[in-house]
Amino acid sequence: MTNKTSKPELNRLASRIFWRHRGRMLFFALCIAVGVGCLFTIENFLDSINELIAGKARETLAADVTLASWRPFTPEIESSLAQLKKEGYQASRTLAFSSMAKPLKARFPFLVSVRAIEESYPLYGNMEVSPSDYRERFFAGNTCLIGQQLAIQYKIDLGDKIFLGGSTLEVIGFILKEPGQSFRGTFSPRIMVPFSEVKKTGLIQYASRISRACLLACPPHLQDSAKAARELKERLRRELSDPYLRMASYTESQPTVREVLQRVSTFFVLVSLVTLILGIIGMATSVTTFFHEQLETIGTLRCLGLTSSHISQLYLRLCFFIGLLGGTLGILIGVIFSYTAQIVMEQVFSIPVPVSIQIKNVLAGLFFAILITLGANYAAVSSLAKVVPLDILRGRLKTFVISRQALGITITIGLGLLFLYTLQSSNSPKIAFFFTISLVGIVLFSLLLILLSLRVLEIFLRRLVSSSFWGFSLRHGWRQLIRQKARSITFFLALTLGITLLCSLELIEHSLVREISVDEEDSRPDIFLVDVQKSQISSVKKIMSDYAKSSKDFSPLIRARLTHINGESVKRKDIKELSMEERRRQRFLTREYNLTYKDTLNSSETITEGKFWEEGESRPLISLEKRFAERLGLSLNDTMSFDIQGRKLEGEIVAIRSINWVSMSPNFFVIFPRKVLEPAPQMLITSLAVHDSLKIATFREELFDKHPNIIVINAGQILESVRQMLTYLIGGLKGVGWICAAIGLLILIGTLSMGKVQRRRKILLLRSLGSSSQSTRAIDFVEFASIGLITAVIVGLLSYSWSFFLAQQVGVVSHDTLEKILPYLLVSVFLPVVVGLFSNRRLYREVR
Amino acid sequence: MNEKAPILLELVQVTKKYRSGEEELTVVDNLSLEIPAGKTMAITGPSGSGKSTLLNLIAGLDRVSQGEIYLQGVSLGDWKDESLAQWRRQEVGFIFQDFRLIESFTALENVSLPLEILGEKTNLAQEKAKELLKELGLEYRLQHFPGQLSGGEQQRVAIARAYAHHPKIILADEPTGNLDPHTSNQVMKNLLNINKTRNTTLVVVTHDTSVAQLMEKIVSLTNGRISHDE
Repeated sequence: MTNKTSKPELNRLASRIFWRHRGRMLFFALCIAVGVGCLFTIENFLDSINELIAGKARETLAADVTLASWRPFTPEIESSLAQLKKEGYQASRTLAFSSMAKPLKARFPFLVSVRAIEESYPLYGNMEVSPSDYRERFFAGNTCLIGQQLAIQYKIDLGDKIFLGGSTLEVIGFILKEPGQSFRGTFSPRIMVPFSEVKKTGLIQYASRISRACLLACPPHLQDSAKAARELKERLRRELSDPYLRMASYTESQPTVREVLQRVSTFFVLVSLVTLILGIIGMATSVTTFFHEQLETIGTLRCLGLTSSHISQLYLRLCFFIGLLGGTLGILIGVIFSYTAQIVMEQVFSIPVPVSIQIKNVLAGLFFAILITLGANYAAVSSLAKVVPLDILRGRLKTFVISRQALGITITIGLGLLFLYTLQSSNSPKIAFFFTISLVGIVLFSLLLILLSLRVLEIFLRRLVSSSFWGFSLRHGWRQLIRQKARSITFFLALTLGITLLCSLELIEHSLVREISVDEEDSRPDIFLVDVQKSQISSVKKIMSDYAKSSKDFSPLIRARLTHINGESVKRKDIKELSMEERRRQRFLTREYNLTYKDTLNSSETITEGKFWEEGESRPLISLEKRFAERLGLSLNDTMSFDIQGRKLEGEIVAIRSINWVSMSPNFFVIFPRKVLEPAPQMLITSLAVHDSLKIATFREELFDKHPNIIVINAGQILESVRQMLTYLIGGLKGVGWICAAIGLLILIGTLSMGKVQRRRKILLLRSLGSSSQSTRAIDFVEFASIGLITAVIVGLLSYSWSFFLAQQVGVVSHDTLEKILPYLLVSVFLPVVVGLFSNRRLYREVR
Repeated sequence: MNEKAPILLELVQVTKKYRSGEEELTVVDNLSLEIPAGKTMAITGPSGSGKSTLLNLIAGLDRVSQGEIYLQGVSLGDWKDESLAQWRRQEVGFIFQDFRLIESFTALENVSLPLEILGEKTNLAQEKAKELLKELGLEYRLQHFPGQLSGGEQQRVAIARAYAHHPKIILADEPTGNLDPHTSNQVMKNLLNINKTRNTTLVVVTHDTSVAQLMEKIVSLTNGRISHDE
């Protein structure tokens, strides 16, 4: 006798259905696997980098705790440091600044990043120098160590001399590795000098920008080093009142690296999310089609004693298996991507990041894939379960209708989860909100355009009465497209989203790269002079006049700190508690400000709100840059108080300016009237357009000979580096974008293959009614070509809207839009035709 | 000895009405009927006479508008959907005119399905299914999919599936409706043979008089009422 249990065994049944339809299940799983794989790669890669940073944090910081300031340490700080030394703490001072340097045998000077160190540096980690026995000679004085890159670039040998400010230093070693260097991107090569040497160079002048740091190491008897470092930092925070002082412990080191990584990864997360969402749409619509085909089976199963709840559980189990397969495939894809990313990071960016597959990310990937598969198909499953079996048995039901309520709940929860995920990834409510809303907007806009296009086709169809070969083909091809609306919408959405993403990335890259490229025809400045003293103006002007195609006025630069806004004191908060926007605001609030004064605006500035003051204004009025004001939440009539070298200055905001930053003129966030700030300690900056590498080098040489303290920044070179980084970044994003487009294609192929039975019946019917084989192919050609054409039109419209949005919001003007996106539009026209006809080739062969 | 068989199912003044727009349609009208355990019964009648509806009411796939159906003295009307489903799962076997085999499952998997739903281990369920299919002459068709079988073979697989879990009652809705006369005879022969060995109650809805004549009892329906009972 059979063992008759009260609960039916559904797992085996679900696995059997899964296995019997394994081809389709693989397709459903693949739809989400790629998106999951991309996200898995990003999460895993970020974790690997974070682990790497955490593992080397002490060596990277070269200390347990660092104190740093742009100003000389106050007596209070010095006394605290003295006390710490008495208690057994080790201390090591460093100075860091930018300067021009010139090797004796080189013709031209160049910008270098100088670090002055004491003998005790580094407190942790190693300096790798060739030759390794450099220390004694180095600290004896008149010597320097240079970066290996610099040595290669300028063919500098050991024993060569380098001019740095007023000193001539002998190169006694090449720096192979210094603490923290692997994650720092610098535009200028490194020179290290003994701490005692700095004064002799004469480079520390009034208002020069020099970072002073003191590295501290806890006494060895404190065994829990992390705890000791945290406690030391807390103690210093309590003891020291200097608001300019920045403190960091190794337990929280490299926050900038983390933040930069998080920001870059956010772009990848967003593009991957689009891929995933596209996959989810494809998977959900295909699974629903599959469920329609399962109605007969469901009728039978209900007769065999399964309730509607059992049907629901059965098909949710099936979705679980699809999710599990999708997650597993996603992780496999992610592992391949991770190793590819490792190679790219090592070979392109010279950052070795070992890939370690984190088990928590594997589990999260699986969980995530299962959750989204269950969530995306929940509405269909719950509607399927409610189907009345008698309607199936009596042949009254060939399809089922998804309950609007269930669909509404699914979409709402889905969007909520999307928002939360984006929020967690970006730590920015603004980005999360903007992304979610934009995505909904783009999907709705695309849907509207798709429905509109289908409606237009319908109108054409009614008027198309020609009995010619192409008239017949057009009528039937369009009819196929219009009558199977749900399927057609899936095609369109999948292709539109994928190709629009690619077009958008192409437009962003093109516009940004073009904005930041400085060529010889350009009249924009490409050279900046920093640290010019008032007394040097006339001499510098004279040198400039020999080289510059055009130049800007000298702008005074006064360093200050923001102390109060509207009377309320500005305080530093723990960054762990802050969102990305709040962190950015805090950075703006607590940064060192470069103020300037003037009574007339330059050509790149436009007043957008309020009124700029007249010549000779003596009241403390302020004009702010527009985006800066928005970030700080400031508007007209608000007050800001600054501390300028110990003196308080409070001003009222009377004008908001927009600045065309790409004009490359020296511009400032905060401006005061001339009379208000003129007496303050200051240095000057200016810019000039040279656009000739040889002239730039000669200019540098002449300027270095006469004024070695002045820093010459080649903006063209920096922008070239930025352009290169941007190209890499957008290249990577475009890679994910292509994956997204490939998903669109996969959906197209999958949906076509799912409708093959129906297509075969139709072809057979047409052939038996006397239609030729060319005619059946022509009908399909019309259908696929129409898909392609409509997709291209929608993609074009979306891309134009996007570039218009960019122009309005970001101030980036897009150029040659059509020219840039034309290849993508052609791809969107031809791809459906090629893929459609190719995937039906067997049908055409079978039904001759 | 002519001992009277115990009653498995009793239908008392059963009425089933459907609403079609404004119109109310009485498909089964105040019908009373007893179905003895272990006996075979044919329900005949023209199209629209309420035969299939009656079968669905007995199976618990549909509920009566008025009246009661008793299963060994217990009213099905008091049962919740879950209990009715359990009744179908454990005690009812179905045979349909269009076979209703699951297209993606092999013959063996289709037959073992009711057993597996009841929690039988796959290998044991398939052993039992194999025996049944062998009994019905389909041992060489075990791994074939429904699409690879003839109509007669498909119906024999459906018969095997209906008997696989030893139900108390088999409900067959026009089991020979899609078959030619020769295959139809073969299938009925198979059905009656297997029913005889298992002593199961068999209710066959048919409008084929030759099929009806093979049953121990024949009930004829006209407009939802019993017009003839022999």
